[in-house]
Amino acid sequence: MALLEVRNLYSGYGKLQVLFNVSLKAEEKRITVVVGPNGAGKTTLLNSITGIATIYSGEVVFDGRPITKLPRHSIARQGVACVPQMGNIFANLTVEENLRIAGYLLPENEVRERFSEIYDMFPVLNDFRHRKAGTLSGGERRMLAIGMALARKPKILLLDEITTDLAPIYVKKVLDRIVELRDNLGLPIVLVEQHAVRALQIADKAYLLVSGNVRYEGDPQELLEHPEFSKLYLGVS
Amino acid sequence: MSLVYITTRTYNFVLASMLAWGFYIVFTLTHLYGGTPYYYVPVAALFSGLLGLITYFGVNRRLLKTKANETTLMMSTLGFDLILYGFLNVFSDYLVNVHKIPAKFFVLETKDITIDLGGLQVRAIGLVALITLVIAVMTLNTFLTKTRLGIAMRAAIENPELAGALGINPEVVYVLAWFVGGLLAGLSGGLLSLLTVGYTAVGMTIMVIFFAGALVGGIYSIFGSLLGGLLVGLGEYVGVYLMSTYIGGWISAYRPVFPLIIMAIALLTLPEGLISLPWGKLLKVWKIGGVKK
Ligand SMILES: Nc1ncnc2c1ncn2[C@@H]1O[C@H](COP(=O)(O)OP(=O)(O)O)[C@@H](O)[C@H]1O
Ligand SMILES: [Mg+2]
Repeated sequence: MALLEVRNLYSGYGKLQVLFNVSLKAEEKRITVVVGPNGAGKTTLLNSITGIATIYSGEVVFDGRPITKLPRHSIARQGVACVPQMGNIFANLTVEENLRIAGYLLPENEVRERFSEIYDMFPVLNDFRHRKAGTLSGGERRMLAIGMALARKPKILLLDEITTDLAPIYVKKVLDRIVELRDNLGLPIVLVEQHAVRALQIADKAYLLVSGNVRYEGDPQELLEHPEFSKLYLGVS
Repeated sequence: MSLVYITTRTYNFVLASMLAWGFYIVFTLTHLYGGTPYYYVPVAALFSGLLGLITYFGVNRRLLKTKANETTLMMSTLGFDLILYGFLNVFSDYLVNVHKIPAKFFVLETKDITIDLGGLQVRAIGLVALITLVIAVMTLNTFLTKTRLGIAMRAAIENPELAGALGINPEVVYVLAWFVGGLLAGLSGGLLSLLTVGYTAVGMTIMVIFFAGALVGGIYSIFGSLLGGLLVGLGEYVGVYLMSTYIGGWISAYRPVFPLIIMAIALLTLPEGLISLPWGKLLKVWKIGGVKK
Protein backbone atom coordinates (compact mmCIF):
# COMPACT_ATOMS: atom_id res chain seq x y z
CA MET A 1 0.00 0.00 0.00
CA ALA A 2 1.18 3.48 -0.78
CA LEU A 3 2.21 5.62 2.20
CA LEU A 4 0.76 8.72 0.59
CA GLU A 5 -2.20 8.65 -1.71
CA VAL A 6 -3.97 11.50 -3.44
CA ARG A 7 -7.38 10.51 -4.78
CA ASN A 8 -9.37 12.40 -7.41
CA LEU A 9 -8.24 15.74 -6.16
CA TYR A 10 -9.78 19.03 -7.26
CA SER A 11 -8.01 21.95 -5.61
CA GLY A 12 -6.80 25.50 -6.03
CA TYR A 13 -6.75 28.81 -4.21
CA GLY A 14 -10.09 30.33 -3.25
CA LYS A 15 -12.01 30.64 -6.51
CA LEU A 16 -9.03 29.78 -8.72
CA GLN A 17 -9.18 26.09 -9.49
CA VAL A 18 -5.79 24.66 -10.45
CA LEU A 19 -5.94 20.85 -10.24
CA PHE A 20 -8.55 18.66 -11.92
CA ASN A 21 -9.05 15.07 -10.86
CA VAL A 22 -5.45 14.43 -9.90
CA SER A 23 -4.51 11.08 -8.36
CA LEU A 24 -1.04 10.15 -7.16
CA LYS A 25 0.61 7.42 -5.12
CA ALA A 26 3.93 7.68 -3.33
CA GLU A 27 5.19 4.32 -2.14
CA GLU A 28 7.75 3.47 0.48
CA LYS A 29 11.34 3.10 -0.73
CA ARG A 30 10.41 4.84 -3.96
CA ILE A 31 11.28 8.15 -5.56
CA THR A 32 8.22 9.60 -7.23
CA VAL A 33 8.90 12.42 -9.67
CA VAL A 34 6.29 14.91 -10.85
CA VAL A 35 7.29 16.91 -13.91
CA GLY A 36 5.44 19.46 -15.96
CA PRO A 37 5.77 22.93 -17.42
CA ASN A 38 5.68 26.11 -15.41
CA GLY A 39 2.18 26.80 -14.07
CA ALA A 40 1.03 23.19 -14.48
CA GLY A 41 0.06 23.00 -10.81
CA LYS A 42 2.99 21.00 -9.39
CA THR A 43 3.45 23.31 -6.43
CA THR A 44 -0.31 23.37 -5.90
CA LEU A 45 -0.31 19.59 -5.71
CA LEU A 46 2.23 19.72 -2.86
CA ASN A 47 0.30 22.58 -1.25
CA SER A 48 -2.82 20.44 -1.29
CA ILE A 49 -0.99 17.67 0.53
CA THR A 50 0.51 19.96 3.18
CA GLY A 51 -2.73 21.80 3.90
CA ILE A 52 -2.03 25.14 2.23
CA ALA A 53 -4.25 25.01 -0.87
CA THR A 54 -8.06 24.83 -0.88
CA ILE A 55 -9.41 21.36 -1.55
CA TYR A 56 -12.81 21.28 -3.26
CA SER A 57 -13.17 17.55 -3.51
CA GLY A 58 -11.10 14.40 -3.38
CA GLU A 59 -8.94 13.01 -0.63
CA VAL A 60 -5.40 12.92 0.66
CA VAL A 61 -4.58 9.81 2.66
CA PHE A 62 -1.32 9.46 4.59
CA ASP A 63 -0.33 6.33 6.41
CA GLY A 64 -3.89 5.01 6.11
CA ARG A 65 -5.49 8.12 7.57
CA PRO A 66 -7.20 10.98 5.72
CA ILE A 67 -5.33 14.26 6.27
CA THR A 68 -7.44 16.32 3.88
CA LYS A 69 -8.96 18.66 6.43
CA LEU A 70 -6.15 18.85 9.00
CA PRO A 71 -4.37 22.11 9.78
CA ARG A 72 -0.86 22.51 8.47
CA HIS A 73 0.99 21.89 11.71
CA SER A 74 -0.95 18.68 12.37
CA ILE A 75 -0.03 17.37 8.94
CA ALA A 76 3.61 18.18 9.70
CA ARG A 77 3.27 16.28 12.97
CA GLN A 78 2.19 13.16 11.10
CA GLY A 79 5.65 13.13 9.50
CA VAL A 80 5.08 14.96 6.22
CA ALA A 81 8.08 17.20 5.46
CA CYS A 82 8.03 19.58 2.55
CA VAL A 83 10.74 21.84 1.18
CA PRO A 84 8.69 24.53 -0.53
CA GLN A 85 9.86 26.19 -3.70
CA MET A 86 9.75 29.64 -2.14
CA GLY A 87 9.89 30.98 1.40
CA ASN A 88 11.56 27.86 2.70
CA ILE A 89 13.91 29.42 5.25
CA PHE A 90 13.61 32.02 8.01
CA ALA A 91 15.69 34.98 6.86
CA ASN A 92 15.87 36.56 10.32
CA LEU A 93 17.19 33.46 12.03
CA THR A 94 20.77 32.25 11.81
CA VAL A 95 21.63 29.17 9.80
CA GLU A 96 21.93 27.08 12.93
CA GLU A 97 18.70 28.44 14.41
CA ASN A 98 16.95 27.47 11.18
CA LEU A 99 18.24 23.92 11.50
CA ARG A 100 17.35 23.79 15.17
CA ILE A 101 13.82 24.93 14.60
CA ALA A 102 13.38 22.56 11.67
CA GLY A 103 13.64 19.74 14.19
CA TYR A 104 11.04 21.31 16.45
CA LEU A 105 9.12 18.07 16.80
CA LEU A 106 12.14 15.97 17.76
CA PRO A 107 14.14 15.84 20.97
CA GLU A 108 16.78 18.57 20.95
CA ASN A 109 19.83 16.26 21.18
CA GLU A 110 18.62 14.11 18.34
CA VAL A 111 18.43 17.18 16.09
CA ARG A 112 21.93 18.26 17.06
CA GLU A 113 23.27 14.84 16.11
CA ARG A 114 22.05 15.51 12.59
CA PHE A 115 23.86 18.81 12.31
CA SER A 116 27.26 17.26 11.56
CA GLU A 117 25.72 15.10 8.87
CA ILE A 118 24.15 18.16 7.27
CA TYR A 119 27.34 20.21 7.58
CA ASP A 120 29.31 17.35 5.99
CA MET A 121 27.04 17.52 3.00
CA PHE A 122 27.10 21.30 2.73
CA PRO A 123 30.30 22.67 4.33
CA VAL A 124 29.25 26.23 3.45
CA LEU A 125 26.46 25.97 5.95
CA ASN A 126 28.97 25.14 8.66
CA ASP A 127 31.06 28.18 7.74
CA PHE A 128 28.01 30.43 7.88
CA ARG A 129 26.48 28.77 10.94
CA HIS A 130 26.01 32.00 12.85
CA ARG A 131 25.02 34.18 9.92
CA LYS A 132 21.47 35.32 9.33
CA ALA A 133 19.97 33.08 6.67
CA GLY A 134 18.78 36.19 4.83
CA THR A 135 22.37 36.98 3.89
CA LEU A 136 22.89 33.68 2.03
CA SER A 137 22.93 33.36 -1.75
CA GLY A 138 20.12 31.59 -3.62
CA GLY A 139 22.06 28.33 -3.80
CA GLU A 140 23.09 28.45 -0.16
CA ARG A 141 19.51 29.07 0.88
CA ARG A 142 18.41 26.03 -1.08
CA MET A 143 21.07 23.97 0.72
CA LEU A 144 19.81 25.22 4.06
CA ALA A 145 16.24 24.34 3.12
CA ILE A 146 17.30 20.81 2.22
CA GLY A 147 19.29 20.58 5.43
CA MET A 148 16.19 21.66 7.34
CA ALA A 149 14.18 18.87 5.74
CA LEU A 150 16.86 16.35 6.70
CA ALA A 151 16.96 17.60 10.28
CA ARG A 152 13.36 16.56 10.71
CA LYS A 153 13.49 12.80 10.34
CA PRO A 154 10.27 12.78 8.33
CA LYS A 155 8.25 9.80 7.19
CA ILE A 156 7.98 11.29 3.70
CA LEU A 157 9.88 14.04 1.95
CA LEU A 158 8.23 16.39 -0.55
CA LEU A 159 10.73 18.48 -2.50
CA ASP A 160 9.66 21.34 -4.78
CA GLU A 161 12.23 22.27 -7.43
CA ILE A 162 15.10 21.94 -5.02
CA THR A 163 17.80 21.88 -7.68
CA THR A 164 16.93 25.36 -8.94
CA ASP A 165 19.70 27.86 -8.10
CA LEU A 166 22.15 25.09 -7.20
CA ALA A 167 25.56 24.90 -8.83
CA PRO A 168 25.94 21.72 -10.97
CA ILE A 169 28.20 19.97 -8.44
CA TYR A 170 25.55 20.46 -5.79
CA VAL A 171 22.76 19.27 -8.07
CA LYS A 172 24.60 15.97 -8.38
CA LYS A 173 25.34 15.87 -4.64
CA VAL A 174 21.74 16.54 -3.72
CA LEU A 175 20.32 13.99 -6.16
CA ASP A 176 22.85 11.39 -4.95
CA ARG A 177 21.78 12.11 -1.40
CA ILE A 178 18.14 11.64 -2.32
CA VAL A 179 18.93 8.21 -3.75
CA GLU A 180 20.84 7.44 -0.54
CA LEU A 181 17.87 8.46 1.58
CA ARG A 182 15.69 6.07 -0.32
CA ASP A 183 18.18 3.20 -0.16
CA ASN A 184 19.37 3.60 3.43
CA LEU A 185 16.27 4.82 5.19
CA GLY A 186 13.63 3.54 2.82
CA LEU A 187 12.23 7.06 2.77
CA PRO A 188 9.57 7.77 0.18
CA ILE A 189 10.35 10.96 -1.72
CA VAL A 190 8.20 13.06 -4.00
CA LEU A 191 10.33 15.21 -6.24
CA VAL A 192 8.77 18.02 -8.24
CA GLU A 193 10.91 19.36 -11.07
CA GLN A 194 10.47 21.60 -14.03
CA HIS A 195 13.88 20.67 -15.45
CA ALA A 196 13.01 17.08 -15.65
CA VAL A 197 15.61 14.87 -17.27
CA ARG A 198 18.01 14.49 -14.36
CA ALA A 199 15.23 13.93 -11.88
CA LEU A 200 13.66 11.27 -14.08
CA GLN A 201 16.98 9.43 -14.18
CA ILE A 202 16.79 8.70 -10.46
CA ALA A 203 13.00 8.21 -10.36
CA ASP A 204 11.15 4.98 -9.70
CA LYS A 205 7.86 6.35 -10.87
CA ALA A 206 6.90 9.41 -12.88
CA TYR A 207 3.92 11.67 -13.39
CA LEU A 208 3.51 14.30 -16.07
CA LEU A 209 1.25 17.16 -15.04
CA VAL A 210 -0.05 19.59 -17.68
CA SER A 211 -2.63 22.33 -17.01
CA GLY A 212 -3.74 20.69 -13.80
CA ASN A 213 -4.30 17.26 -15.35
CA VAL A 214 -2.23 14.11 -15.09
CA ARG A 215 -1.16 13.29 -18.64
CA TYR A 216 1.14 10.40 -17.89
CA GLU A 217 1.67 8.01 -15.03
CA GLY A 218 4.21 5.20 -15.04
CA ASP A 219 7.76 4.28 -15.82
CA PRO A 220 10.15 7.29 -15.85
CA GLN A 221 12.26 5.88 -18.70
CA GLU A 222 9.18 5.58 -20.86
CA LEU A 223 8.14 9.11 -20.05
CA LEU A 224 11.48 10.36 -21.37
CA GLU A 225 10.53 8.87 -24.73
CA HIS A 226 6.84 9.81 -24.54
CA PRO A 227 5.72 12.03 -27.44
CA GLU A 228 3.99 14.58 -25.21
CA PHE A 229 7.08 14.86 -23.02
CA SER A 230 9.34 15.53 -26.02
CA LYS A 231 6.84 18.03 -27.34
CA LEU A 232 6.94 19.92 -24.01
CA TYR A 233 10.62 19.67 -23.31
CA LEU A 234 12.48 19.46 -26.61
CA GLY A 235 13.76 22.88 -27.44
CA VAL A 236 13.00 23.99 -23.89
CA SER A 237 15.97 22.52 -22.12
CA MET B 1 4.06 46.12 23.26
CA SER B 2 6.12 45.27 20.24
CA LEU B 3 6.00 41.63 21.20
CA VAL B 4 2.26 41.49 20.84
CA TYR B 5 2.24 43.67 17.76
CA ILE B 6 4.69 41.65 15.76
CA THR B 7 3.12 38.35 16.64
CA THR B 8 -0.53 39.18 16.25
CA ARG B 9 -0.46 42.36 14.15
CA THR B 10 -2.32 44.10 16.94
CA TYR B 11 -1.54 47.46 18.46
CA ASN B 12 -2.34 46.63 21.99
CA PHE B 13 -4.21 49.31 23.86
CA VAL B 14 -5.12 46.85 26.57
CA LEU B 15 -1.62 47.43 27.93
CA ALA B 16 -2.92 50.70 29.35
CA SER B 17 -5.37 48.89 31.58
CA MET B 18 -2.83 46.24 32.45
CA LEU B 19 -0.49 48.95 33.68
CA ALA B 20 -3.22 50.61 35.70
CA TRP B 21 -4.29 47.29 37.16
CA GLY B 22 -0.65 46.75 38.11
CA PHE B 23 -0.80 50.02 40.03
CA TYR B 24 -4.00 49.10 41.79
CA ILE B 25 -3.06 45.60 42.73
CA VAL B 26 0.13 46.71 44.38
CA PHE B 27 -1.72 49.54 46.08
CA THR B 28 -4.61 47.45 47.36
CA LEU B 29 -2.52 44.58 48.60
CA THR B 30 -0.09 46.91 50.32
CA HIS B 31 -3.03 48.59 52.00
CA LEU B 32 -4.76 45.43 53.07
CA TYR B 33 -1.84 43.24 54.02
CA GLY B 34 0.93 45.73 54.76
CA GLY B 35 4.60 45.14 54.09
CA THR B 36 6.54 46.79 51.33
CA PRO B 37 4.87 47.20 47.96
CA TYR B 38 7.62 45.14 46.36
CA TYR B 39 6.07 41.91 47.63
CA TYR B 40 3.06 42.51 45.46
CA VAL B 41 4.74 43.45 42.20
CA PRO B 42 4.96 39.81 41.05
CA VAL B 43 1.25 39.41 41.81
CA ALA B 44 0.53 42.41 39.62
CA ALA B 45 2.67 40.96 36.84
CA LEU B 46 0.87 37.62 36.99
CA PHE B 47 -2.52 39.28 37.07
CA SER B 48 -1.76 41.31 33.96
CA GLY B 49 -0.36 38.26 32.25
CA LEU B 50 -3.72 36.64 32.93
CA LEU B 51 -5.48 39.69 31.54
CA GLY B 52 -3.37 39.21 28.43
CA LEU B 53 -4.61 35.66 28.08
CA ILE B 54 -8.20 36.76 28.62
CA THR B 55 -7.85 39.41 25.94
CA TYR B 56 -6.36 36.95 23.53
CA PHE B 57 -8.93 34.24 24.03
CA GLY B 58 -11.85 36.61 24.47
CA VAL B 59 -11.25 39.05 21.67
CA ASN B 60 -8.12 38.87 19.62
CA ARG B 61 -8.24 35.19 18.69
CA ARG B 62 -11.69 35.32 17.17
CA LEU B 63 -10.81 38.36 15.12
CA LEU B 64 -7.55 36.83 13.91
CA LYS B 65 -9.54 33.78 12.82
CA THR B 66 -11.81 35.91 10.69
CA LYS B 67 -8.73 37.61 9.23
CA ALA B 68 -9.71 41.04 10.53
CA ASN B 69 -7.54 43.92 9.38
CA GLU B 70 -5.18 45.89 11.59
CA THR B 71 -7.58 48.70 12.30
CA THR B 72 -10.28 46.34 13.52
CA LEU B 73 -7.77 44.56 15.73
CA MET B 74 -6.55 47.85 17.15
CA MET B 75 -10.03 49.16 17.79
CA SER B 76 -11.00 45.91 19.47
CA THR B 77 -8.18 46.27 21.97
CA LEU B 78 -9.21 49.86 22.55
CA GLY B 79 -12.75 48.71 23.22
CA PHE B 80 -11.61 45.96 25.53
CA ASP B 81 -9.31 48.40 27.26
CA LEU B 82 -12.28 50.65 27.97
CA ILE B 83 -14.13 47.71 29.47
CA LEU B 84 -11.20 46.89 31.73
CA TYR B 85 -10.90 50.57 32.57
CA GLY B 86 -14.54 50.54 33.56
CA PHE B 87 -13.95 47.55 35.83
CA LEU B 88 -10.98 49.32 37.36
CA ASN B 89 -13.17 52.32 38.18
CA VAL B 90 -15.74 50.04 39.73
CA PHE B 91 -12.96 48.38 41.69
CA SER B 92 -11.63 51.70 42.99
CA ASP B 93 -15.15 52.79 43.96
CA TYR B 94 -15.50 49.54 45.81
CA LEU B 95 -12.26 50.20 47.66
CA VAL B 96 -13.39 53.69 48.59
CA ASN B 97 -16.87 52.73 49.69
CA VAL B 98 -16.42 49.34 51.29
CA HIS B 99 -12.89 49.39 52.60
CA LYS B 100 -12.67 53.16 53.09
CA ILE B 101 -9.39 53.24 51.24
CA PRO B 102 -8.68 56.48 49.36
CA ALA B 103 -8.24 54.76 46.05
CA LYS B 104 -9.01 57.52 43.57
CA PHE B 105 -5.58 59.07 43.91
CA PHE B 106 -2.78 57.47 45.79
CA VAL B 107 0.91 57.77 46.36
CA LEU B 108 3.02 54.83 47.35
CA GLU B 109 6.34 56.65 47.39
CA THR B 110 6.31 56.82 51.16
CA LYS B 111 6.14 53.05 51.41
CA ASP B 112 9.35 52.66 49.47
CA ILE B 113 12.39 51.32 51.27
CA THR B 114 15.41 53.58 51.54
CA ILE B 115 18.76 52.03 51.15
CA ASP B 116 22.03 53.30 52.49
CA LEU B 117 24.64 53.72 49.80
CA GLY B 118 27.73 54.72 51.78
CA GLY B 119 25.94 57.31 53.83
CA LEU B 120 23.79 58.36 50.88
CA GLN B 121 20.11 57.68 51.46
CA VAL B 122 18.53 56.51 48.23
CA ARG B 123 15.08 55.24 47.52
CA ALA B 124 15.13 51.63 46.44
CA ILE B 125 12.84 52.03 43.46
CA GLY B 126 15.42 53.47 41.07
CA LEU B 127 17.75 50.59 41.70
CA VAL B 128 15.03 47.98 41.66
CA ALA B 129 13.55 49.33 38.45
CA LEU B 130 16.93 49.36 36.76
CA ILE B 131 17.81 45.84 37.88
CA THR B 132 14.38 44.57 36.90
CA LEU B 133 14.70 46.14 33.47
CA VAL B 134 18.12 44.61 32.91
CA ILE B 135 16.97 41.20 34.10
CA ALA B 136 13.78 41.38 32.05
CA VAL B 137 15.66 42.31 28.89
CA MET B 138 18.29 39.67 29.43
CA THR B 139 15.73 37.00 30.18
CA LEU B 140 13.66 37.93 27.17
CA ASN B 141 16.76 37.95 24.99
CA THR B 142 17.97 34.59 26.25
CA PHE B 143 14.51 33.16 25.80
CA LEU B 144 14.21 34.42 22.23
CA THR B 145 17.67 33.39 21.06
CA LYS B 146 18.64 30.37 23.13
CA THR B 147 15.52 28.31 23.78
CA ARG B 148 13.75 26.38 21.11
CA LEU B 149 10.38 27.80 22.05
CA GLY B 150 11.79 31.32 21.74
CA ILE B 151 13.30 30.60 18.35
CA ALA B 152 10.02 29.02 17.31
CA MET B 153 8.34 32.24 18.34
CA ARG B 154 10.62 34.32 16.16
CA ALA B 155 10.16 31.84 13.34
CA ALA B 156 6.37 32.00 13.57
CA ILE B 157 6.55 35.78 13.61
CA GLU B 158 8.57 35.88 10.41
CA ASN B 159 6.76 33.21 8.43
CA PRO B 160 3.73 31.58 10.08
CA GLU B 161 3.16 29.29 7.11
CA LEU B 162 6.60 27.78 7.10
CA ALA B 163 6.54 27.56 10.88
CA GLY B 164 3.29 25.62 10.61
CA ALA B 165 4.86 23.33 8.05
CA LEU B 166 7.57 22.53 10.60
CA GLY B 167 4.93 21.55 13.13
CA ILE B 168 4.94 24.76 15.16
CA ASN B 169 1.45 25.63 16.31
CA PRO B 170 1.13 29.41 15.80
CA GLU B 171 -1.54 29.52 18.50
CA VAL B 172 1.06 28.66 21.14
CA VAL B 173 3.13 31.60 20.00
CA TYR B 174 0.23 34.04 20.18
CA VAL B 175 -0.79 32.88 23.63
CA LEU B 176 2.75 33.21 24.87
CA ALA B 177 3.16 36.67 23.40
CA TRP B 178 0.00 37.94 25.06
CA PHE B 179 0.93 36.41 28.37
CA VAL B 180 4.49 37.73 28.38
CA GLY B 181 3.30 41.10 27.11
CA GLY B 182 0.79 41.29 29.96
CA LEU B 183 3.36 40.11 32.46
CA LEU B 184 5.75 42.88 31.51
CA ALA B 185 2.98 45.49 31.55
CA GLY B 186 1.90 44.43 35.03
CA LEU B 187 5.50 44.43 36.17
CA SER B 188 6.02 47.94 34.84
CA GLY B 189 2.75 49.11 36.37
CA GLY B 190 3.62 47.61 39.72
CA LEU B 191 7.02 49.28 39.79
CA LEU B 192 5.75 52.57 38.45
CA SER B 193 3.24 52.74 41.26
CA LEU B 194 6.17 53.53 43.51
CA LEU B 195 7.26 56.37 41.28
CA THR B 196 4.20 58.32 40.32
CA VAL B 197 0.74 59.08 41.54
CA GLY B 198 -1.78 56.36 40.87
CA TYR B 199 -5.26 56.97 39.48
CA THR B 200 -7.54 54.90 37.31
CA ALA B 201 -6.55 56.57 34.04
CA VAL B 202 -2.84 56.38 34.77
CA GLY B 203 -2.38 53.62 32.22
CA MET B 204 -3.38 55.83 29.31
CA THR B 205 -0.93 58.52 30.27
CA ILE B 206 1.92 56.07 30.49
CA MET B 207 0.82 54.32 27.34
CA VAL B 208 1.51 57.47 25.38
CA ILE B 209 5.15 57.20 26.41
CA PHE B 210 5.30 53.50 25.64
CA PHE B 211 3.62 53.92 22.34
CA ALA B 212 5.87 56.77 21.34
CA GLY B 213 8.84 54.75 22.55
CA ALA B 214 7.87 51.78 20.45
CA LEU B 215 7.38 53.90 17.35
CA VAL B 216 10.61 55.81 17.85
CA GLY B 217 12.53 52.61 18.38
CA GLY B 218 10.88 50.67 15.58
CA ILE B 219 7.70 48.73 16.23
CA TYR B 220 9.04 45.54 14.67
CA SER B 221 11.92 45.22 17.07
CA ILE B 222 11.84 44.46 20.74
CA PHE B 223 15.21 46.03 21.42
CA GLY B 224 14.36 49.02 19.31
CA SER B 225 11.26 49.73 21.35
CA LEU B 226 13.13 49.39 24.62
CA LEU B 227 15.72 51.84 23.38
CA GLY B 228 12.99 54.11 22.11
CA GLY B 229 11.13 53.91 25.40
CA LEU B 230 14.25 54.87 27.27
CA LEU B 231 14.94 57.75 24.93
CA VAL B 232 11.41 59.08 25.05
CA GLY B 233 11.25 58.73 28.82
CA LEU B 234 14.55 60.49 29.30
CA GLY B 235 13.72 63.02 26.60
CA GLU B 236 10.53 63.87 28.42
CA TYR B 237 12.26 64.52 31.74
CA VAL B 238 15.18 66.39 30.25
CA GLY B 239 12.97 68.29 27.86
CA VAL B 240 10.55 69.39 30.55
CA TYR B 241 13.40 70.28 32.87
CA LEU B 242 15.21 72.39 30.30
CA MET B 243 12.07 74.07 29.07
CA SER B 244 10.87 74.92 32.53
CA THR B 245 14.20 76.46 33.49
CA TYR B 246 14.45 78.52 30.32
CA ILE B 247 10.87 79.24 29.46
CA GLY B 248 9.06 78.95 32.75
CA GLY B 249 7.43 76.46 35.03
CA TRP B 250 4.09 76.60 33.26
CA ILE B 251 5.48 74.46 30.49
CA SER B 252 5.54 71.36 32.67
CA ALA B 253 1.75 71.27 32.48
CA TYR B 254 2.23 70.26 28.85
CA ARG B 255 4.43 67.40 29.78
CA PRO B 256 2.36 64.61 28.17
CA VAL B 257 2.83 66.34 24.85
CA PHE B 258 6.59 65.82 24.90
CA PRO B 259 6.60 62.15 23.97
CA LEU B 260 4.39 62.97 21.04
CA ILE B 261 6.74 65.69 19.87
CA ILE B 262 9.71 63.37 20.15
CA MET B 263 7.74 60.75 18.28
CA ALA B 264 6.85 63.18 15.51
CA ILE B 265 10.46 64.29 15.10
CA ALA B 266 11.69 60.72 15.09
CA LEU B 267 9.11 59.54 12.57
CA LEU B 268 9.97 62.41 10.26
CA THR B 269 13.68 61.76 10.36
CA LEU B 270 13.80 57.99 10.83
CA PRO B 271 10.52 56.49 9.66
CA GLU B 272 11.71 52.92 10.21
CA GLY B 273 12.69 53.60 13.80
CA LEU B 274 16.03 53.81 15.55
CA ILE B 275 16.67 50.17 14.92
CA SER B 276 17.07 50.96 11.22
CA LEU B 277 20.31 52.83 11.92
CA PRO B 278 23.38 50.88 10.87
CA TRP B 279 24.23 49.89 14.43
CA GLY B 280 26.93 47.46 13.41
CA LYS B 281 28.81 50.20 11.57
CA LEU B 282 28.30 52.72 14.35
CA LEU B 283 29.67 50.26 16.86
CA LYS B 284 32.71 49.59 14.69
CA VAL B 285 33.41 53.28 14.26
CA TRP B 286 33.03 53.67 17.96
CA LYS B 287 35.43 50.85 18.71
CA ILE B 288 38.02 52.06 16.23
CA GLY B 289 37.69 55.51 17.68
CA GLY B 290 38.27 54.04 21.11
CA VAL B 291 41.40 52.24 20.01
CA LYS B 292 42.84 55.37 18.42
CA LYS B 293 42.50 57.22 21.66
N1 LIG C 1 -0.47 30.91 -3.41
C1 LIG C 1 -1.17 31.04 -4.54
N2 LIG C 1 -2.31 31.77 -4.56
C2 LIG C 1 -3.04 31.91 -5.68
N3 LIG C 1 -2.71 31.35 -6.86
C3 LIG C 1 -1.59 30.61 -6.92
C4 LIG C 1 -0.76 30.42 -5.77
N4 LIG C 1 0.29 29.63 -6.13
C5 LIG C 1 0.11 29.35 -7.44
N5 LIG C 1 -1.02 29.93 -7.93
C6 LIG C 1 -1.55 29.79 -9.28
O1 LIG C 1 -1.78 28.43 -9.51
C7 LIG C 1 -1.42 28.05 -10.82
C8 LIG C 1 -0.46 26.88 -10.77
O2 LIG C 1 0.75 27.29 -10.19
P1 LIG C 1 1.80 26.29 -9.53
O3 LIG C 1 1.10 25.24 -8.80
O4 LIG C 1 2.76 27.12 -8.78
O5 LIG C 1 2.51 25.69 -10.81
P2 LIG C 1 3.93 25.02 -10.96
O6 LIG C 1 4.49 24.77 -9.60
O7 LIG C 1 3.67 23.77 -11.73
O8 LIG C 1 4.79 25.97 -11.75
C9 LIG C 1 -0.82 29.28 -11.48
O9 LIG C 1 -1.82 29.84 -12.31
C10 LIG C 1 -0.53 30.19 -10.32
O10 LIG C 1 -0.71 31.54 -10.69
MG1 LIG D 1 6.12 25.42 -8.70
